[in-house]
Amino acid sequence: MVKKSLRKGERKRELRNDESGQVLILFSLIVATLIASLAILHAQNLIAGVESSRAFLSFPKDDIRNLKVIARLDFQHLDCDAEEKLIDQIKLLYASKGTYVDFETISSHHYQLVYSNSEVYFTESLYVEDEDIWLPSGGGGGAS
Amino acid sequence: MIRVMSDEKGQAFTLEGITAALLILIVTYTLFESSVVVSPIWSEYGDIQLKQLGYDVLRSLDVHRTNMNLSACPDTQNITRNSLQYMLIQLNTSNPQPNQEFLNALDMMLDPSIKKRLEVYWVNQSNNNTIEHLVLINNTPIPDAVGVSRIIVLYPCDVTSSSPFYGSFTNDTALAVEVRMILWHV
Repeated sequence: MVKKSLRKGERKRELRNDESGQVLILFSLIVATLIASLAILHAQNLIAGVESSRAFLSFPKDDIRNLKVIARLDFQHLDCDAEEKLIDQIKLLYASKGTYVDFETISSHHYQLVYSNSEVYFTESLYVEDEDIWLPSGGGGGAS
Repeated sequence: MIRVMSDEKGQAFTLEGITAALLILIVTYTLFESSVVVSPIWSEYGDIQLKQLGYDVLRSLDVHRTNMNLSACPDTQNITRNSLQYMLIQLNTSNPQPNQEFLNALDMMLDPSIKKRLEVYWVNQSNNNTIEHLVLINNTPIPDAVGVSRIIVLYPCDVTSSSPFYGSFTNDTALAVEVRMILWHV
C-alpha cells in the first residue's frame, strides 16, 4: 500500500516535470498563427483583385468619351448662352440617372469636366476652340 | 496490465493531439471561409461584353457632322441616313418610328440572339425643363438586361414642326437628346 502511494506520487511528479506537451502546444500555436496570417494575406489579395477589376469594369469610359466629344465638337458651334443651356440639359439628363455631370468654366475655352456618382468621381480639363458658330446664327425650327 | 492502466502519459498526448487537431481545424476553416468572396460582381462579368457591344454600336451610329448648311433646314444632306442623328431628325410626332436604314444598321451590328428596346429622353425647355421620353422599339426587357446610352445634340435647324422635339427648343438653343438602348440575350 505504501509502495503504491509512493509510485502514485512519483508518477504525478513525472507528469508535472514532463514539459514536452507544452512545447507541442506552443509550436502548434505558432504554426496555426502563421497559417492564419497567410490566410488573411491571401484573402486580402483576392478582395483587392476583385475590387480593382470591379472599379475597372464599372468605370463609365463611354459616357465620359461621349461628353468629351460633345464638348469638343458641339461647343465650338455654340455661343456662350447656348452652351450654358446645353450643359443644363445634359446635367438634368444625367441627374435622372443618379449621376452629377458638369462642365465648369475655368476660363474662356477652358472647361473642367466633372463626372460623379456613387462609384466614380472623375474630373478632366478640356480645351475647346470655337470654329464655325452654328448657334445662334442658325435659327430655324423650334418654339420660342 | 496494471502498468498500462496507470500510465497517464497517453492521456496527456491524447489531449495535446485533440488541441492540435482543433487548432488546425479552426485555421483551415478560417482559410476557406475568408477566401470565398461572395460578390454581385460575378453576375456582371457575363453582361459586361453585351454592355460594351451596346456602347460600341451607339458610338458607331453617332456620325457627327463637321459642317451644316444653315440655309437648308433641316439639313438632311449632311447627315448619314443610318446615323442616330438622322433617325432622330426624321421622327414624326404622330407615329414616331426609326427609319429603315437605321434599323438595318442596328440589326447588322447586333446578333439576332440579342433583343433590344430603344428609348429617347430629352429636356423640354419650353415646359419648365421637364424630361420627356419616347419609346421607339418597344420590347419588354428581362432582369438580365443591360442599358447603354449616348447623348446626341440636335440643332433647331434639324427639326421640322412635325418632330416630337419641335416644341422643346427655345430660341437659339441646341437640344441634348439621350438615346437609351436596353439589350438582353434571348
